[in-house]
Amino acid sequence: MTEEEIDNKILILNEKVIDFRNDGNYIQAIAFAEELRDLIWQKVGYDHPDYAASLNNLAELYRSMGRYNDAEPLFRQAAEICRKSLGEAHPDYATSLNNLALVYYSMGRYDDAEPLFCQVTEIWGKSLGEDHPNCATGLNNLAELYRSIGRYSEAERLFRQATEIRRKSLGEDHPNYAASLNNLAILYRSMGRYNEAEPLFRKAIEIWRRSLGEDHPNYATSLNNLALVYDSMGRYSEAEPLFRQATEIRRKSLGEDHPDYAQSLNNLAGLYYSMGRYSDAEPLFRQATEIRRKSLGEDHPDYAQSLNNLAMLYRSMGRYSEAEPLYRQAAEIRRKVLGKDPVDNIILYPRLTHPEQFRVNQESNILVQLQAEASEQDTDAVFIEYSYLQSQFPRIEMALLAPNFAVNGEETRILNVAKNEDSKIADFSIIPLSPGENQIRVDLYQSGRRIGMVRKNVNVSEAQ
Amino acid sequence: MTAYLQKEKSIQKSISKELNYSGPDLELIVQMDPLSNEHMLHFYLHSLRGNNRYNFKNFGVTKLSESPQEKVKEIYNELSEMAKYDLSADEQSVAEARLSSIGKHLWQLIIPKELKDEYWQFRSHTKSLMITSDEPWIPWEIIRPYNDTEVEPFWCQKFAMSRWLSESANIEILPLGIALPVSSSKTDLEHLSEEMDFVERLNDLHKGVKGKRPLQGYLEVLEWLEHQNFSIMHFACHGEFDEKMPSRSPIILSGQPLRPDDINTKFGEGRQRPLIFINACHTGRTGSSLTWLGGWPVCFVNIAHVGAFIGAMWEVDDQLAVLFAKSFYTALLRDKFPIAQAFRHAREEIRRAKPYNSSWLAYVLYADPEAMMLDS
Repeated sequence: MTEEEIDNKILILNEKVIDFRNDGNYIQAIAFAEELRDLIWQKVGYDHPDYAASLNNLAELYRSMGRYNDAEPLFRQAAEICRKSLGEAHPDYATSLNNLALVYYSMGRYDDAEPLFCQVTEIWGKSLGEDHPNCATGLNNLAELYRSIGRYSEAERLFRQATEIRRKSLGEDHPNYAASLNNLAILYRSMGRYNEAEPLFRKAIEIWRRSLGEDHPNYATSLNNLALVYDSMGRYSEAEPLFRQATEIRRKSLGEDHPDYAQSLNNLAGLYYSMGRYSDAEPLFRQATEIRRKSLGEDHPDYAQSLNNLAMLYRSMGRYSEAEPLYRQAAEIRRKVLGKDPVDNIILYPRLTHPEQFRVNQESNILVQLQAEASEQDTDAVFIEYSYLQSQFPRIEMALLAPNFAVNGEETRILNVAKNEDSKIADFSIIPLSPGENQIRVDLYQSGRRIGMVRKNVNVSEAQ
Repeated sequence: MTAYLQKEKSIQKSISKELNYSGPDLELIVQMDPLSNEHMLHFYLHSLRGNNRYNFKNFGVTKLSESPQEKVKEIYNELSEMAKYDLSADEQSVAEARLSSIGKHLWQLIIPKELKDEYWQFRSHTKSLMITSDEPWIPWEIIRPYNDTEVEPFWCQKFAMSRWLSESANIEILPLGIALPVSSSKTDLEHLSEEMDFVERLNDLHKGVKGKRPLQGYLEVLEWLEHQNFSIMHFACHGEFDEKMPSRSPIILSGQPLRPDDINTKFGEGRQRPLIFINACHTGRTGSSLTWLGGWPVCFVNIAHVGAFIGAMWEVDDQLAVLFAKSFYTALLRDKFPIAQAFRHAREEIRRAKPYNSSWLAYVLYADPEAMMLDS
């Protein structure tokens, strides 16, 4: 081929990759992207930024397919080419590191992703200025990582910072500002702060509606996310029309083979499952599973999620023999994608502390802590399940059972637990009702599963 | 040229719903301090599923006038007698009526009014029920609700029912792996070899289970319990209950007694949490011990942290015991039922065989009722 022929072929292949990717047909897009990479290598050689870009694009497609182990070395290679050719202070080098960090994030390799996101934010800040939208992207991505590992207070601070930069630099009508609001709202949803999430999602919906129109997939995303908040709150009748609208927008704008359309079907089916409408849920779950299998392949975590959801549905319907192979297949995919068991344990020790003296009718506070280290009390460790692939961090429900005490406020507490945080505390305000030896007990649950208990017998004196 | 993905990529989440296990349909928590002289039972309902949505809601208190130990002992003795003999047709009808009246009496005596009233609300949309109780006496399985117009089945018939102890964590998926039959070489149990053979061949029901030859010696059993990974340990032998020191209640292995106090192990920290089934009389009973509760369920659930434990609260008929074990494992492993449904199925099998014989009500399951034995 002449150089001109090569250039023409590159342009044609590039367009094909973009078209197939936009249609959600990643398998075909990858075939063309591989051809494109080889052609560019032929044209410019190994050390050229264009070759790095071709590696990056191919890796991004692998990442979209959940082929993280294929994507990672390509992103690394692309980053190394950028470092050598552009230098470590160049914003495009930061972009390549950002992409590498994103694949680590997708793999649940948060320890590898975190320093890269920090480095990316720093390079963009220094090279482009701290008010540049790229900086907001760096902060947003780091915040999302912190959300995923349950470091919610840091995540909230960074999301707010990113939102403010985008508001100032892009304006309040810009779709990326809406994206920031959307992500902050997802953080609040993860924390169970549904009442704070709802208005942010509503604002994002309105901006996306005005700026992108009611047929745009981003508008569907915001409807989907708000519907999930309503779903979590048990407000099913409000969730259903939003899910339906999101599904229809995605069907029209992306087509019936697109993974985002599958996500909408999955979520609508999940709502029907929560409502006990199993026969309505089944065809939707099946359709979502089939779309994900075809568009993403059989090794993708989203396909595994579909299999898991279908298994849960069959289990609830009493179709146990159909559920088992689906669970097994989902677990196998997840192990393969992550290179480790998808479920890990966080080990914490519950500890109950209380005032030395209790008196009848005198209000007192008791504290329940989940500590990383065993205390002097001889309590068993609590094993909390942590999934690398789920969007929410473990929530621990604590229930105070103290029948001879009045409780001032709620008798239950919900704590989000993170892997690297030392101690979580819940406090209860109680008023003893009668003198003598009484038992205070706090039962611990995760998603309805009993995980342990801590109790103390305390002596209550007569009122003064 | 190929810059379409080179722009900075910002995570913009669109949430995809993942269905998670959310516990049994209903948990009944019974709080009591077994060391206290006041015998107060406090009742709470808890559920996150479906229509129930209780959030540790209190449903009353029952104050027992004295320790129910002696009264319950009488009931257990009576039920043990009812498991021993074959009866004439007339005697069978009387025995069935007697079982029913014991269940109704317990409903009347133990369940507070608030919970009685609520029962008629939740009964129709509750399939699985877990009772988490620290009291050691009440045979919750044989409670039989009734009112002026209706008589319900026993709780263990009505629900896929299990128990649990409050201090321990339960698990949703029981691991597949090695199945260990345990028996005594010196025994008068007529159907023992049939039961041992069945457990050894559980692989026929599920390829994820690998049966081993029967263990017989005390030391061999302890070695497996303390150091090895396995999925099922199934004992078939004689058992006794020590009222004064429940943690000394023996089962008999080849002439050697094995007692709860002998077991010093913990599963779950790097080891599979297995199912332990002691198919022997009285092994499902607990009682007050010096420091808290004692007995086989306490030993295996609270201390050793097994995934599931099965025992019998009183005497069981040898032939029905084998039928129960075979039906249970078939439903659990071949039909892949959740454990409490498999348990209820097996109970029903032996009830159909001899409804007048109290053996069908004797079995007690400690587990998450929805737990499944899966190759995950």
